[in-house]
Amino acid sequence: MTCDQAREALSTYLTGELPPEEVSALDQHVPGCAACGAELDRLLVQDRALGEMAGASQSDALRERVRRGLAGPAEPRAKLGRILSVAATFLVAAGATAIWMILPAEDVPTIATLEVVRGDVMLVTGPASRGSGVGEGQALETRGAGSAALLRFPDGTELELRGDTRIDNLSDATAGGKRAFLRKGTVRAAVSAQPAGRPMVVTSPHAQAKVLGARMRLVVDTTTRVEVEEGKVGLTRTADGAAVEIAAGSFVVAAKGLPLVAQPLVIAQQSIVVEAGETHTLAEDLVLSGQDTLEIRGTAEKRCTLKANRHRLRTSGEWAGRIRISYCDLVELGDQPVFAADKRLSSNAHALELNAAKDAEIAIDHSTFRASSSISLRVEGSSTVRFSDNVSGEDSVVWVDKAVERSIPFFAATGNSNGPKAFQGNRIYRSNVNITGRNWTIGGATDAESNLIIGMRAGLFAYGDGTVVRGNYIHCLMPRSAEFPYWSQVATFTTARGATAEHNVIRDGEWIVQFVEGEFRHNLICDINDHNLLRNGSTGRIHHNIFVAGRPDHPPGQQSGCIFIVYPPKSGDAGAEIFNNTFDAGDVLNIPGIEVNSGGLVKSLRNNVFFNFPHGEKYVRSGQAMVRPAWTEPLGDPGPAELGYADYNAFFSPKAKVKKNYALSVAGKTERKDAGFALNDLPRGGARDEQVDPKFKGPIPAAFAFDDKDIKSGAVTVSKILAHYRDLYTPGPGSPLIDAGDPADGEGTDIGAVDAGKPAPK
Amino acid sequence: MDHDTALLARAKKGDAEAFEQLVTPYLPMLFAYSRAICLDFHAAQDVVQETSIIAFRNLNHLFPEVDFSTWLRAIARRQALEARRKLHRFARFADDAVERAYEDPAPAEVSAQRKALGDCIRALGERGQGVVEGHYFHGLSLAQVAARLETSVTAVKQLLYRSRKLLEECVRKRQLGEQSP
Repeated sequence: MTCDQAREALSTYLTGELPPEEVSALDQHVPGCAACGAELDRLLVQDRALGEMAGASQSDALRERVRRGLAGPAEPRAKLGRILSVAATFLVAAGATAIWMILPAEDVPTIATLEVVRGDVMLVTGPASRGSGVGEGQALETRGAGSAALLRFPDGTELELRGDTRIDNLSDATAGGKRAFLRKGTVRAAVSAQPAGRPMVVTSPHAQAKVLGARMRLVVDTTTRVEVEEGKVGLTRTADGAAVEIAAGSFVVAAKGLPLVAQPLVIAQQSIVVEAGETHTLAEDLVLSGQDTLEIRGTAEKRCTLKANRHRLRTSGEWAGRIRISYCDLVELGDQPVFAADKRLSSNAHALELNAAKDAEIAIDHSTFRASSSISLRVEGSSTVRFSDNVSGEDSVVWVDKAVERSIPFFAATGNSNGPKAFQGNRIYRSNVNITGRNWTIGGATDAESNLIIGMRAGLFAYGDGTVVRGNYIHCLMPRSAEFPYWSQVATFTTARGATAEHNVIRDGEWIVQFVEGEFRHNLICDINDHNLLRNGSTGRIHHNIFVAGRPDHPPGQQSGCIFIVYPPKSGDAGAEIFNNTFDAGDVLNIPGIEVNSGGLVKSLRNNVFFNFPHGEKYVRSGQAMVRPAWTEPLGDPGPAELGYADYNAFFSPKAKVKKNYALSVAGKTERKDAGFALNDLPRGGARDEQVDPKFKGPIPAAFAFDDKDIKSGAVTVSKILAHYRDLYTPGPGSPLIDAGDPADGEGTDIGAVDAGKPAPK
Repeated sequence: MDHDTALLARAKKGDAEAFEQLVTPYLPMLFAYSRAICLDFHAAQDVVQETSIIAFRNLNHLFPEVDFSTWLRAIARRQALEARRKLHRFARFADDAVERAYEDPAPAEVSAQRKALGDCIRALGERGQGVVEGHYFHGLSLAQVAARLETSVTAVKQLLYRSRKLLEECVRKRQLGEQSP
């Protein structure tokens, strides 16, 4: 970081909105730089003056808050309502997430720490004063479907609250051990081993549970339900003192008039059928095991509804049954994940979490996931999956974050099933699709089979051998907001080396495409704003693609080569092949067309068109060139021999200040002198760095020509978008590209992504 | 017994109204100081409230030789650091500089400096004034300021940086007795 950069960054730092990587850079730079240290001092003097003026301008409001805070302890019962109303005001002002805590006194020991706070979470003082975490006697409340809180005691015991849940009178200071009163809602508890004779006691309006160590879930509404996954729990009904022991894998419902008996948590062999037009409501997770089946038989005329109330559809153990869901509205299925304070994922709540074994069948079609969360499948044996024509809309609660590691895919599938698996015709408007299994069909040969994946962290990642990704539209949106002041590690498309990706339209992201190491062909890649249009290792066949700069609607980040070969060949790799692509930098990208990291290898670079690159004198530290080593490397002549073959390419950038075609070389060959190194670049036999107008049919578009709204409505299809761009970049009348490609690819091969389809007049 | 000493005596006996009167003059400073540490307008408001409550509950620990303002600041610092931790902001390079900026208790020239600053903000022009007031006085995020000004966040950052420089120069000139902003 230079001092100039640091000065500007310091100004933003004081707003609290400097991206973490720049904060880290300041943290490195400022302590050792006297000039920047002095600048920080000056800025902070001004910041104090502005801050105090701001404080003075809101002095009445601050004074009112102080008054309210001071009044607190005298009226503890009345306080909750007032705190909640203030909290609601704060939520409106600050966005979706807020915690409101009237402050802890310093002389009361903390009994537990709030590790996670999401949504509307209230920590309400009881009659006693509190410590800096959660103090003796406090109450904790989560409000609304998206809210969650994770409370951790020093011994590792955790209580996770979700939705409309309230715990009163938390205690750990008395000789009796941990205490909590679950007034309402749902709590998952992981109770560490407690000292003998001092169980944790969780009381509800209906019963009292004593726990020496267990994992369990408690649900309190008109009854109290206790499910035990591990360990055991003693339950006593308040009304009559009746008691029961609940072993792992069973549950008990405590309510007046119901027998107090433990039942198996997983009901064996169930078959649930929901007929057309019916509504099925979940009061708890729907858990399938063995060969259980679920069939929801909606039709286009009579749709079904699954009201899930934030419960989930999941399997237990190896499940080899059948799920068929057609024409169903799945409402509030699953919930958002919970993250711990250290940002690691603490627990997930997928809408569907299915472990399909043997010959299980999963078929979900024409269904809408409304305000629902993610889908996680493990598909083994010969199990089959057909997920088609479904919608997960903008109301999805799938968790998307500016940090990639905290973002959850909408659809994730793993496993080694050899059965047919298809993901087709879906509309996904939040988060991405991540499939690691083999032999999936994603999209298809018709527009009806195209998946539309549009939204924040939209993406398609297919890592399995034999998978075909065809005809999809993927548009990653990166809006900046208070919640998302920056985006980090945004990639939009990946396919594995054994996979084929073709006829897709892929837009925006930091690496729009990365690591397409099999066949990547006939795609349109558009709207670069950060990093690369494509980043790859030294393998894969990248051909007949149109790469377009476009005009993404957010500020640019650090940009580098259209295609960046970032790794040296791995064992067995012969280098990446890049041929018959058209690169249009739109006179906005002063970046290389091809950038190769040290040791990387492009086996063949042929028949490509590099068009409208507004190259300046410099590219980061050294001179600019169309085909060059990484930005960290100086330019030499000849450049590093990281091209295996480079010929029959065309270059045309009339607005470039510097026109240098190659700063990489082919071993043993001289540029423009030897076949295999630019001898046949256009104009054939011309001088070094000579250029020629490709004369595309045009008109060349400045911005992406279609609106997502029309794509979502179906008025514009993937085939229509591809046809439009292929028409524009077809060699026009008199184009030198026609039939000028490498004859080794066949007589009459054109240069560029689109062949004019006719031989040039002789 | 001066006015503050009398208020303090009443506050120590549990008179919340007296404490409120006592602490009110310090609230703008506490807000600015807390904001400088946790870098969040709304969290700073919370810190001011929290600081006041802790101070009120612990007034008996305030020794006569300790400056009230310094004591309040010490409490606010702890709360603001905790707020910063919850916001996952961990950089510490500015911590010492923040302390230096708040070392002087409130010199006599401060009010003149504030007046000059107010005049200079008005002289910034509509957009510069919009950025400074929007962010500092109304607690708007840069994205919200950008939306109001119908520009990009990047442009707002640059505008804020330029405005800071203009304000610095303008205040310096005015304090030297020059008239031009």
